[in-house]
Amino acid sequence: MHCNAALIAPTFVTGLILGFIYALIALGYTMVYGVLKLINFAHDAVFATGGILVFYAFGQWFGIVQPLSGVSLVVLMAASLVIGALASAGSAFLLERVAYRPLRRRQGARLSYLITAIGASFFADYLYQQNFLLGPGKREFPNYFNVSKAFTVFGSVVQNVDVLIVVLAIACLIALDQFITRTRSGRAIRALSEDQVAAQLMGINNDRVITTTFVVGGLFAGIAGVLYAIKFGFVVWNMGFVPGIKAFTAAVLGGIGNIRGALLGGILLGLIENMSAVCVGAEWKDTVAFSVLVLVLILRPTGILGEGIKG
Amino acid sequence: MGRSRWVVLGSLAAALSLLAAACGGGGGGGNQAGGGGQSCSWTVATMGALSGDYASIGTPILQGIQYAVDQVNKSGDLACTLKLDKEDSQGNPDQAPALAHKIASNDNVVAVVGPYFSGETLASGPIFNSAKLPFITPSATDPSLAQQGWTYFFRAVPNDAAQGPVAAEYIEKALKASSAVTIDDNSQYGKGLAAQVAKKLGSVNKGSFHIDPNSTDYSSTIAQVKSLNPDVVYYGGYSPQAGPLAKQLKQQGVAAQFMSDDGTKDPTFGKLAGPAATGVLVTCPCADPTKLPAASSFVKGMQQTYGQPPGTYAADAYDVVQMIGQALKNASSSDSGTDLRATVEKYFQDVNGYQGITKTYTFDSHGEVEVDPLRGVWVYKWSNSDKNFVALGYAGQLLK
Repeated sequence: MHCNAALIAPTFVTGLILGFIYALIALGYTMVYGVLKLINFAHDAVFATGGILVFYAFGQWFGIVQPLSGVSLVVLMAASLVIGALASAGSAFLLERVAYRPLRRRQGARLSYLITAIGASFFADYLYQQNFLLGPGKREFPNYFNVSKAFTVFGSVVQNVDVLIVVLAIACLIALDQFITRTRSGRAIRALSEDQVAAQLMGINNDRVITTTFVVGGLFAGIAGVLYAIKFGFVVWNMGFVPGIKAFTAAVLGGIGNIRGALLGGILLGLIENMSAVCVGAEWKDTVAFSVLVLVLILRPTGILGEGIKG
Repeated sequence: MGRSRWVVLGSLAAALSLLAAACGGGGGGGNQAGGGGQSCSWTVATMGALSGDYASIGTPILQGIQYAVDQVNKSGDLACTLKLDKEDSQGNPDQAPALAHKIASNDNVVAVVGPYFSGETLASGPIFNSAKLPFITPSATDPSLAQQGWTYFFRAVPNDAAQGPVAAEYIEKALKASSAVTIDDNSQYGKGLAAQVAKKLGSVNKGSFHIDPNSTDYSSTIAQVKSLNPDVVYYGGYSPQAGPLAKQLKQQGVAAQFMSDDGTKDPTFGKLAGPAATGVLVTCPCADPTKLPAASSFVKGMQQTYGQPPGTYAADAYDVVQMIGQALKNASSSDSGTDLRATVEKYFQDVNGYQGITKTYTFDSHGEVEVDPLRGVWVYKWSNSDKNFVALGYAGQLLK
């Protein structure tokens, strides 16, 4: 429709940035799936928790209303990323303890896990929607980080926050990759993803490893949540829903359970979405994106890079 | 084992009590006898976004209605007390039909003020109409609503077939734009309005785009807008999307004048748009009551009651309730709600030049209020000091 070369380049840039956000969230889906073969649909609420807690900390309790600069900005950004990551990790920990571990103890059917995940997601969303928390509408995020133009590439303005998103996402992925391949905990996660029973026989504490998996996925989701809130300038009770679905899709596209697949899937999905929005129309972008997903799954049922935590 | 079972039971109980609280909040029926001076009551129902993403748009309308009901009751003109039944659709067309059935089946309901949005009105109109229950919207502006053949439908404000062309005229004449693009949110209301604007703009409109209201990143649409380099971007939709859209347009370096509609005219817009709100214009088929001499006591009363000046469509909603009051003036306390539905319908059909605080009301055979668009549509501009939209005047004044 409006598809021309002049448009494809800037759309590529914005799609790429979106893709990195998806990838950060997708890590949580993919790691939990890799270990438990569980699609943790409550991960969207884990993502939202990071942004929402930082909204409270700096917007409501400290009441920061002015854009900051220099050292105070660096300190505050570091603080908000840490707070957001810890908040999301904490909620992922809580989720595992309260919702999934009891099911595991009772050897719940796979369907019970799925329903529990969906239930937990709704529980968190509607809890945030209550008037004593966020209330129903979009809430303005404190603007201590002044989102402004960093540079222009291919006619697309790249914001300073976009640079931060890409840099942090890459740093997180490298860190996770190292964690999975180099550390003892990482090896335990890989072992569990290959064979739970054998791992247990080798003396691995399954519960501890599962908790670690949830917490690590939560950390990345929290960072994504904070960056997302800064980029778009608001938080809302159901802010996790759409990015959550997209990130889950990205994980499946790249090969669920596969960490590099999450990155590839995220970026691909971001690009496909944005390209189809330009070439077919924004109201079609999800239709096109999900058609691509179905096609990929028909040709490669395990996703592009295949299943399993390989690091 | 035993302990964890108690935990499960406890959390179940907690969940149930939450559920009960949620259901209790949904405004029960209004069948009980009145609590005022009179022993009987009639119910006026209202339905719209009282919570959810669009609550900031629905709340001012509800305030106008509530205030008017209180005023009517205070005047003592009616044989029975008016009660207000508030139904919260969250502005969602999917939730509307169930609520409409609930309202229509309540025999005490004489009229509905609403629904507030076009999509939910389209979804619930057939139900009200077949229940022979007059429903008068003070805010749903999609033109097609009056073309459904609903006898019991009335609209107290000019529709988008009036608003759209006036907005287009303003873009061409007052803003002197030679190019514009229209964007909408794919809703019944936003899409219809943007199409009206685009049609009137003709060749000045360089492109029409739709965004997905559930997504937060509009970069692909913005890239297309940017490549067209328009003087004006017109958005048909509501503030929760208009705010982030205006913000992202500015961030991507689109310098065009951003202009939107009555759905955007609420303070939420500025919170979400940030600095990009500066200078943004909206049209609205709603008069600014603070500029109308006839509305001065209403403005004062609303200020006292709610601690803020009346919001968008509050005054128009007030007029609607006052007219319902007029319709019921001669009704006796023995008349039931269902008897009076016809009375209210006949009143709105026959009323000729009722002097409301915002305008003079006469309805045509489709239920549309007869108003000159240039008089009925107002233009507002965002003011950073007021943190709200401030009236520039009605279109006729500004296009002279």
